[in-house]
Amino acid sequence: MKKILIANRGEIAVRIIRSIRDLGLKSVSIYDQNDWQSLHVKLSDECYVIRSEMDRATDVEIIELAKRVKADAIHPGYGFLAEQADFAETCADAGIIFIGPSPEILSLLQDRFTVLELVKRAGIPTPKFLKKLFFVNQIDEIVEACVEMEYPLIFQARYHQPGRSIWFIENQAQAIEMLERLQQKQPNLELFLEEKISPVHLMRVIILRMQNKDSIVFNEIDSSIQFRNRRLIEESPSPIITPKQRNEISQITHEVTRCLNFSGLGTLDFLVDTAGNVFFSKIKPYLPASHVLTEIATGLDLVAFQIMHSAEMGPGIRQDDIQAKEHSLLCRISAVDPYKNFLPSPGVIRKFRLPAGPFVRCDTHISDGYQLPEKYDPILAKISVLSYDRASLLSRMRRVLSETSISGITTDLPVLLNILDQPEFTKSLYHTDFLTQRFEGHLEAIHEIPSEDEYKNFAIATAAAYYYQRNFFRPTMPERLKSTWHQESRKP
Amino acid sequence: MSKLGIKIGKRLFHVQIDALGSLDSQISVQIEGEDVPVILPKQSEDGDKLDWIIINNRPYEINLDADLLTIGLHNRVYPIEIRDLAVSLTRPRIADGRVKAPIPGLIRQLYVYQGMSVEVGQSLLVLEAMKMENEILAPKTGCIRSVNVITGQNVNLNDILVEIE
Repeated sequence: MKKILIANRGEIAVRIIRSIRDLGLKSVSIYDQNDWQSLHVKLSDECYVIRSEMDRATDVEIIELAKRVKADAIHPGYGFLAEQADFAETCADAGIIFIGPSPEILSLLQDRFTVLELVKRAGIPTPKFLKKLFFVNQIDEIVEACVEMEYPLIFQARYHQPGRSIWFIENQAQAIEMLERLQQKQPNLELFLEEKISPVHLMRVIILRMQNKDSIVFNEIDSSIQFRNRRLIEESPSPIITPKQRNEISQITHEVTRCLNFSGLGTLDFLVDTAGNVFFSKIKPYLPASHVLTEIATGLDLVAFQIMHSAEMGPGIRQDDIQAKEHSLLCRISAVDPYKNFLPSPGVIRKFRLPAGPFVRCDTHISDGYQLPEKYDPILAKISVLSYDRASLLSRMRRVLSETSISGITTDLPVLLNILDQPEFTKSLYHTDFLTQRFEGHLEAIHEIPSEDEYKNFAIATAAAYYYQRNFFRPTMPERLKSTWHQESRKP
Repeated sequence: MSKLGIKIGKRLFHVQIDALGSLDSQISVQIEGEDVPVILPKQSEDGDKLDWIIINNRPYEINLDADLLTIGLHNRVYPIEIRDLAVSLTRPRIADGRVKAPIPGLIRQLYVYQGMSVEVGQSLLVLEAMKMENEILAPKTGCIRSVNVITGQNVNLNDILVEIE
């Protein structure tokens, strides 16, 4: 393997390019005309524009390009393309290595319903689900089944799709409304019903399973801090998981991958209820965006492992070599405006200064002057920190977020800082509904109060910023006219 | 000389800034009659926003929001009110009943029709942009005078979507 094409954009592509270059290989990036200033374009060895008629580059366009530029492999990123069995198969037919599990495994994993059935049959705990598939237009049958299941419940799409694949349903009126909406948008949607465990904690576990069936399971990542389906903060290890539960999660991870004959790098989602029961929920054939937490805690490059696995090379380490004693925490900064109901705030990023210092890692595709496209999701950066215990970890993240400086657009940085101060968060009493309870309808909840000795300074800062905005301090004579060089040149 | 009333939380302060100092990076500021040393970066010709300032030997990275409702200091936000006697500055939070597109995007869902009455904060429509479904809420209570968009329509920034009277 010498040259790898990355079929993704933004921060994900940047992350993958870095591993490719660390391995001494060549990287090929793709971009569209709105996105040519992204760092993934600047950091790659070769870059090609894809002018697609479609919303995204098509499979054929990507594979044709890979052949033309003589790439040996395609990295599908992490997300939708990474689980498409058809795409992996087309790559194989074209003689190109698909970096990920085999098409057979992908085709099984794409079908969430069958996976859940197989896993349940193997005696592994899962949330309760109805062993029946529905088409979205069978509204009467579905509503009847909902009554049997009892509200609240979850509509799960059988196959993962771009956009949403899971819908929370509280009552019958909502069920009917949602089905009518879905029917218009996706008339061929197949779905099944699952119980909604609430309140709940969401955990992710990364596993690397080799062809020889040896496997390495990493510490869980707690992804419970969510707001409107966006994960804002993640941490590892989870503060609520006991060593006994950690062991149980690790056992289940081994069993699930064995039962599905999985090989490669994958992520398992677990739900943990308030009584501490652990349920398997999903398996995905790619790394979660929060794999950074595992990487900084272990010192390992998981994307490099993934590439090596596809080149049929082992990682050269075993489970016993993994030591992750340290705590890690990740915050996602997004271009959304907390004061405008969390609406995205696209625009030109005038200045972009990321934090630095001890045990900080920043993953981004943005630099000064970047025009944030309206077409893509509003993530700006993932900021991760590492420390020896949770208290110092939170303190470090507060420092790191307050030293970040982004201007030109509005971000949710104040929200992130506010969450870090909440007693529910510091005492690890949070679950997936915590942020909804705190912020939905109470956006003033992020307002802070100055300390007594800072009131006056803040008033002065406000006054100065206000006058600046009114151009009160703007020079009456442009700087360049004051230069003698300029005046000399104007002399006749 | 220019005077401002600045309210932070529940406290009101009178701040006076001397324009003469503006040629230098040090400016002369008085708050409640007391002189305070302030240093700020020179403003460029294109009139950029103020990013940082030193007040009483303390540095602050700041971010005044465009609607003058909050100030961010080191990424934490504080509610403010500014009273400028030189300019009459009474900014209502809601201008009129015209609901404009805050971002360009696609109309995914319409919840209202002409003649319907809506409450403040009620969801009017869903605007999809940046891969997110964004609910656009009614800025005031009233009756829908017109709905200017249809489901599936692409809209530009500041297009008028709905009018409430």
